[in-house]
Amino acid sequence: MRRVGLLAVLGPMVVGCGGGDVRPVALIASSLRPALNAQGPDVRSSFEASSAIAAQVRQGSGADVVVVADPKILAALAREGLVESPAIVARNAIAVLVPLGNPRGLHSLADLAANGRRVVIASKGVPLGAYTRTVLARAGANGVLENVVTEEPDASGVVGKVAQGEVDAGIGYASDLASRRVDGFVVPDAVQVEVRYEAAVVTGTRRRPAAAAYVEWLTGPEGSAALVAAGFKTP
Amino acid sequence: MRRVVAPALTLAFALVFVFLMLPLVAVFVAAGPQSLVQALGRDVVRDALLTSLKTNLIAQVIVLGVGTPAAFLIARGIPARRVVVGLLELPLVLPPLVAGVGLLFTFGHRGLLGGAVEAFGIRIALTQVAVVLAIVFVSSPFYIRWAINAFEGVDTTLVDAARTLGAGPARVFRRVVLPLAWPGLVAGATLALARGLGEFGATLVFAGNLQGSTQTLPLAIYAEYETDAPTALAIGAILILTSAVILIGSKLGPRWRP
Repeated sequence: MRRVGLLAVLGPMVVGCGGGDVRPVALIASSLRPALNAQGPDVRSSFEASSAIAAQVRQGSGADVVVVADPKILAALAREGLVESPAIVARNAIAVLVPLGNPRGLHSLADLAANGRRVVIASKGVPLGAYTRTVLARAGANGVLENVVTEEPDASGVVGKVAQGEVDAGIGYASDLASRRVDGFVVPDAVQVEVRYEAAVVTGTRRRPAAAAYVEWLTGPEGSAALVAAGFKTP
Repeated sequence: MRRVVAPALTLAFALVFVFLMLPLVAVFVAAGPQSLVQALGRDVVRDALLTSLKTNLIAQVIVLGVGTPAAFLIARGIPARRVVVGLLELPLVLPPLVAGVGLLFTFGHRGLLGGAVEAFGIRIALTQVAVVLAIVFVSSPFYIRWAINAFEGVDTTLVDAARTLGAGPARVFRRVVLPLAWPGLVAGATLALARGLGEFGATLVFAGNLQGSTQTLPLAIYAEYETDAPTALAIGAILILTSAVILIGSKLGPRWRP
């Protein structure tokens, strides 16, 4: 009798993990969380670094649709035949983030390079970290790297450290400014990089219709409205 | 009945052993022997190894130095002892992320003690000091729990006899209590060290992640995993080997006693 009870509990759990759930699994760049968390079609979403998403797709973790912050990542996955052709979802820009009220009075990238400033950036393996290093090189502000006290594993980590007031500034996305958790400014056009978010359906998924519908929603009017409201630009 | 029990016990043991060991073996298989050597040649791995060794060494000196007398006092008896011991076990079950947030809201810029600490011109969060504090916070309950048990297990009649024979409290502690409690203290210290080496969540939140400063081995695994999986796996293998040497070594090692 007890054995039957155990099976009754475990059975649905195993099936639930398998394929009974029709909602697609969406792996989404962590910077998109404010725009897409609990928005739109019913998906099982997980917000992570784009590079982590790529690693998961390569290991066949069961994702149905992915949205990442670097087109190069999806281009590579598409070449490997792991995702279908990508669609542009949104654009973003690089910004300097400071704690609310800008207590240190920072107004330029050069201010971040001043002696004793404590700065957070993203680690070089994630898109934001790569964009950050490009912007600093273009601005001739590599001195900022001397003031880095922590390299976060994803974009939301950068916003978190700035919002907590543990650092004087961080380099994140323009969309982070819309969160009202931090203040700051978008870096000048002359040193800016193009940040493009793209979505793609994972090749061979059994939940393809729902996954494709999610990409359609993202690129449609409702998805665009959610993205714009959270500080992103739409293509 | 007995004919059923013995194989059932063997099966249970086999299940436990295989289930716990297979994932560890998988790391080594995935990493491959030559990647271990290659990884040791990389700056990021060497820096992380040094950071881990340094911070854990300092942390365990603190854990043993403060934890031993504290555990001795608790074992001798304090008011509301059971409640206190229960409270001291809380960090064991806390998700490390929560531990990190707690430390941040204690020693951070806006933390309970942050203002007092910064008055001395000291910043703790996102520094190597924060790594040490995170390790002490998550690992000391392991040691203290074992040390209390070890001290409680010391036969009080032996202590009384030593006192009757004229030994002072310090001499009794050194010659009677410490040798009798020793195996328990070693076991607790070993577990604490192994737990400290693997510490990740609290460190990331409270100390951040910077190569050569706060990036310990577990943080380096996380940082490298997405861009350089072979190196990450090699670091994982190094961590498993180190912990295995500590855990097995403390059980097989020289039977030295004070």
